[in-house]
This record gives sequence, C-alpha cells and structure tokens, in this order.
Amino acid sequence: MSRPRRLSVPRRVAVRAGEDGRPREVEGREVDGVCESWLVEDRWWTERPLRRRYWEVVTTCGRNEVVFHDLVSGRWWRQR
Amino acid sequence: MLTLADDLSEANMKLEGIHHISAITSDAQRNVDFYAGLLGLRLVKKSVNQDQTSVYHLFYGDEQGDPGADLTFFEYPGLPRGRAGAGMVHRIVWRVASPEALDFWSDRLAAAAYESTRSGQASLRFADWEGLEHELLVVSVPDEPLIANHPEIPAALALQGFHAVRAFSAAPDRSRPLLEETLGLEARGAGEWEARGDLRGGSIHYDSPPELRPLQGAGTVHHVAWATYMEDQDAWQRRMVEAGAHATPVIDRYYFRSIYFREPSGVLFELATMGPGFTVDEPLDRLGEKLSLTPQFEHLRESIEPRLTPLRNPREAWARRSPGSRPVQKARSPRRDEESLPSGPYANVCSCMAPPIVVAALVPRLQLTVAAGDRAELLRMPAALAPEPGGPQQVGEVSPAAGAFGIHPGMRLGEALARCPRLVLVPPDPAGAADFWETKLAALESVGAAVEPVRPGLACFDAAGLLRMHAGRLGLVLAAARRALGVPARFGVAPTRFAAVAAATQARVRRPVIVDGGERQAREFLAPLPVALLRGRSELSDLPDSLERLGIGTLGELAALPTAAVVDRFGSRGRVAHGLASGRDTRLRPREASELVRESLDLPEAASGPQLERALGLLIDRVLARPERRGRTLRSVVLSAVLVERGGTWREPFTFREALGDPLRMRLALAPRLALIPAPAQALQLTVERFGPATGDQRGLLDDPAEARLARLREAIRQTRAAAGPDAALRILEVDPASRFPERRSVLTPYEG
Repeated sequence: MSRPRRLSVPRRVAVRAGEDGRPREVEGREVDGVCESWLVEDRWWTERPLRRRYWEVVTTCGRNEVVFHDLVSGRWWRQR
Repeated sequence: MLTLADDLSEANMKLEGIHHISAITSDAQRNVDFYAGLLGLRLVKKSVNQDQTSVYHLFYGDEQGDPGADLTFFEYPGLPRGRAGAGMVHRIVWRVASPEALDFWSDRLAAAAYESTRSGQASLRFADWEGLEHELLVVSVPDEPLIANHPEIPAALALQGFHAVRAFSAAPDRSRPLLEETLGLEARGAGEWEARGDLRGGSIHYDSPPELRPLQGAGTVHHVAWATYMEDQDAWQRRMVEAGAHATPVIDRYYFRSIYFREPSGVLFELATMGPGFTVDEPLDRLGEKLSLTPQFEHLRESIEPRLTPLRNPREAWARRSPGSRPVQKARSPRRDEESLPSGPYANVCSCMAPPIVVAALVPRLQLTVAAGDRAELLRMPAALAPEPGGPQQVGEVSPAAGAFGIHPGMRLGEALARCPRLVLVPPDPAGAADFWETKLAALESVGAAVEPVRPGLACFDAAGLLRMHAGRLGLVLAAARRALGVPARFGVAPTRFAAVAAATQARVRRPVIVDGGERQAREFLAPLPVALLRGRSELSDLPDSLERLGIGTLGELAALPTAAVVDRFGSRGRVAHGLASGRDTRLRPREASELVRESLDLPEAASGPQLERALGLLIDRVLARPERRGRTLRSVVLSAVLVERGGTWREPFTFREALGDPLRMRLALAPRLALIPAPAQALQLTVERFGPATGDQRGLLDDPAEARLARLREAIRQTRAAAGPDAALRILEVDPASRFPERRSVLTPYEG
C-alpha cells in the first residue's frame, strides 16, 4: 500500500423508495423499519454541491443498513 | 501587495458578536406562529431557499432587522426532527433585562402550553415546538438591546438579541487556536469564548456532547454567523484561508456578504457583513410583508410564488386592529438604573466588600538587634547588617546613627562605606532573627490574629475579625497584640497592607497611626510620604532611587501620574508601585498555622565535609522518624547551621523537586548545600517547612514500562511485515473526525512505529 486509503467510502446500492423518499427495499430486501433519517448538505457554494438524505433502516432479515440518497444525482449509496 | 497600514488594520479586525443564527424547520407557518406570534420577534424577511425555491427561508429580528438578533429558518416541509450532537449548536441564548422578564416569559410560554425551566435568578430555558432549545439570560452588558415591538410584550421585558450559542464538542480545545488566534475571540472560562467588538459581544460555549449520533433535521441549528465590517471581509477571507480553515470565497447573500467554514469542533461558522441589511429591497416599515427574491430569482417570481403556501403573519393581524399605533420607531428598553438593581440577597453585598482593617506590627531593626545580641551599644553607633555570605553586596538593616548618614537597607556595601567609613558591619544572624520572630508570630496567632509575615520584624493581620472579640474597639485589639508581642512594637492601621506598613513607620511605640476609611483615605494618607517607603517591597527596592532622580519625591506625586506613563517607564514594577501609592494593594495572605518539626544536632567539634554529611543523614532520619509526620512526605525544608566563627548562623531554605519520603534521595538532594556553609559549623539543624501528600510520587526503580511495550510492538510489526508484506500493519488515522461525511473522517495508512 503506497498511499493512504479512505475508510467508509460509499458503495452503490439498489434501493426502491416510496413517494416520500423513504426506502422500501434495500438490495431486494424489504425495509422493516426506519431508525433514523438525517440531512447532510455541504459545498453548496461550489459547482459540485453535496446534498444527501441519509436513512438508517432495518431490513426484514434483521440487517441494519445506512443508505443515502444523493439529492443531486438521484442515486442511492450504502455507507458504513 | 499589502501595505503596512493594511497589516495594522487587519491586525485590529474584530468580530462584532453574533450576526445571525440559521436553523431548520419542517413547517413555516407553525414557525411563524411561534417566533413572531409567541416570542414577539419581527418577521423581517420572507424569502425562498436559494437551493430549493419551493420552500421558504424566513428571517426574524428586532424592529430594525439589525445584526445581533437575526434568527433565520430554512424550511424543509415534513423533515423529521433532528437531534443536536457533537459539532452542532444545541441552544440559543438570548438576553433579557431583568428577572421580571423571566417571570413574564415563563407565564407567557405556559399560557401557550410550552414548558420552561427556571434556574436561579438569571435563566429560563425552553424549547420550541420542534425541540430547538432557547435560554433567556438576565445579563448586564453595555450593548444596545435589540427589541421588536409586539402589542402583548412590554419593551422592558422583550428579548434583547443574542447573547451566546451553546454547542456540543468532545474536545473544545481543538477549536482554541482558530477561535483565539484567527478569529480573535477571547477565552472567558472553560470551553467558553467571546467575540467582543466595538458595538456588541457574543459568545460560544462548548458542552460535552451526548452519546447519540448528531442528526441534522427539523429543530436543529444549521450555522452561526459572526458579524464583520464590510471593508474587512476580503481580509477575513484571506485570513481564514491562510489559517487552513477551508473557507469559502466571499459569497454575495444579497443582504450581506458571507464566508463559510467549519471550525475544528465541527460547528459551521459564517462571517457575515453588517450591511447592506434587510432594507436593501424593502422599506423599514414594510419589512417581511411580501416575498423577497434576490435578483437572480426575481425573473422566476411568477413560477415561484404560487408554489409557496401563503403565510399568516401575526403582525398583520394586530397592525390591522390598531392601524394608528403601528410602531416603527426604534424601541429602546429603559436604561438599567440604580432603582432596578436587584434587592434582597444582593442588597447587602456592599457590607461584605467593606475595606479590610489591616494592622501592621513593626519592630524596628529587629534583625539588627538580634544580630547585635548583647552588644547593645552597637545600635547607638553607625552600624549596619553585613551582607549575607554569598549574597548580593548590600547592607541589611541600619542603626539610626547610620541612617543619619543617608544609609538605607539594600544600599550597596561600597556606597554605604563611602558615606560613613566608620560604619560597623554586624554579621547577620538570619536564623536567629527568623526564630525570634517566629515566636512572636506564634504569640500573635495565639490572640486570634491570622498573620501574614512580611519579614522578620514586620507582620500584618486583618483586624476585622478580631474586632468582634474586642467589643468592636480597635484600641483593645492593638493592646492585645502589643501584650502578645512583648517587645516594643509600632502599630499602623489602614485599609491596605502598604498603607498600614507606612503608618507603622510613622507611629510611635505608644501611639499607633490609624487611617480610617477606604482607598481614597489611604491615598490621601500616603500622598505626602516619601517614595522611599516602596523599598519595603523587595521587588521594588531600587525603584525609589529612579523615582527620586526623576523628581518624584512623594507617593502622592507618583499616584498623580497616569498609570500608563508609569508602566511605560518601569514596566510591571511601575504598575505595582503606582497601585500601592494610589491606595490599592493585594489582599492579605495569612499563613497557615504551622506545626514545627525540627531536629538539631550539636557537633562536638567544628565540622565540615564528610562529618557534616553524616550529621545531615542523622538529622534526616530523625525528622522522618518524628510522629508528627504521620506518614506524610516532605515538600520543603530549611537547613541551618550555627557557625563557629563569631557565632554567626547560616540558613538555606530548600524545596524538593517532588515531595519526598525517601531518606536516601533527601540526602542526595541536600548534601550539595552543605558545601555552601561559609565556615565550619558547630550545630546543624533541619526544619520542615511544608509537608507533601501522604504518598509522594517516588521515581520508579526500573525503566518506563510504556517504553518497553513500545519497543516490543515495533519488533512485532517488523516481523509481521517481513512475513506478510508491507500491508500487514496498518493504522486508522483520524483526518477529520467531526466531518458529517463518514468517508472524510478517517484514512488507512501504513503503521509507522
């Protein structure tokens, strides 16, 4: 390893969300409950603003997932 | 390129307190009802979120929309409630004028079904309907109160603008360099910094954060802005970038120019200019009535406005009810005057602040008298204490006859002998004088005085407490002290130590000099006295000569000079001297009643070298064996010796680098001092001055175990890498642990032992 590597880098994830933006399915597994949801906004003064809506959810198989919806690109990511 | 003038003005840049605070709400109408309706702020601007024009950005403020009371909200409809955590502001602290205002607000909030918590006379806490915390604080600051008009809220009880924000941070010290060095805030206590400018001040307090992860959501603060001057803004931006704060460029927010950056604890800061202000697009009396769009959005007004839910502003309702009384003038709360000072428990605070009654007891020439011993005739001749062996070549106390030659204590030996070649030099006996005076101090303490020893022959105590034991009569206190001392002492009584000592020098044995009153009376008493009195303070001993050369002969002339001039010429010594001459002094510091633990050893014949060392070892063992020690370590001791030569003594106080209980180490520390004894000794004495804690930190016999562990770890890593490649040992390095983006918090790097 030559150079430092970032930890907790987001990975793409398939999420099906409802009308209100709330995740319904993560990686094909149904969402059982939402633990928390929060907003993170930064660099809004630049050409590449970061706007994310985070969700911490539990799927029906008991998995705890933290996913976020990138409000700029519309994509979903998983992040630990 | 910057000129010197630019540099200077930049160095003086100040933040003028808090400019505005921005928070998040999930419902604009309920927000208006709470802040404009209930709290009585004025909605000074109704705009849209520049990133999402379908929702509001609301600005509340005082009647003028001034910086310092401006609370703004971004609306995110339906956003769940947030939770303040590390790196977020969790409470907004507002100023109010009086405890009555707190009563008013707790009633007003309760009537609207909001709970509030009163703590003490000065604070009321509550939260808005989304959990955003507020605190109303009764403060006394010179800043102009920033008040909005409201028909139900009297101006004297209204909110007066921001006082502070409280944020959460696990390590507020990480923010210290940026806050103090870059932003120029001043530390005001643990985790508290104030930005105090020429107009206003505002603070940030850091509290330790809750365990739970922070959630930015409804009812949380988004950022806090500090007020700047427009002409400084570019310089601020440069300074922030140079400080490595990742600041944004100056952004035109239309109502002000802004710079954003996150401070090291994670709180988003903004620096916002105090102009142009909210009247840039609306007249003052119509602020906040219609939707304001900045120029880049103005052309979209027709598409933006219909998509916004109309807001009812409570102000419109009451303005309609009483159109004639629409208040737009600046509301000022009445100045807090004498009558409004709190009565009750604080009313008698003055009596606690009464000036102390300092009594100085002076036995003139005690050291000389003790040194002269039975050769009392010496005192009638020009005589002076010889310089202490090894000390500076200055004479000690002088006899009256020597004084007549102009010789004074502290004068250089050569000069004294030049003035009076017949001067008899008496070898000093510091140990004898100290011992003699110690018995006198103990006698004074036995009549109940808390004594501050100044030097052998001079002690001060505060008579305020003793007066009660003597029917309030100072004469009886002095008589008791005189009886206790048993030697002809002179007494001076004054509000300060310095004035009391000066009074004692003026006093006669049976006629004390009493200066009644406070600082002013002390100053008046001191005014005609010579500056030479300052010699009594060891750190000021050479100041009177310089003052006299400058033609300043009396303390009154010194006190009349501007403090700045004296400090400029003489530094901190000048400040001390000027304070003393002006009737100010530090409080008395009475010593703690001592317990005497002393061992002495008579040496059969004049001893030096190894014999003395053996004697020292014996003394140490004996002192350590004393039952009074009760297992405590020793912190400082006095080693003294009686010299063979002319019965002189030698005395050396010694403080151990750490409190000790180990005789071997004490011997190692003290033995080199024996070499300083100027002549063969016939007795050696060891006195404990101060004890340390019961178990002192003794140095370990072996090496630091942490060092050994680290060495083993390094070797383990070396072997692991050799076996499994360079990636086998990595370390997680926190880069920006407060970042709200998880991927920015830490990186994985090779472990470097």
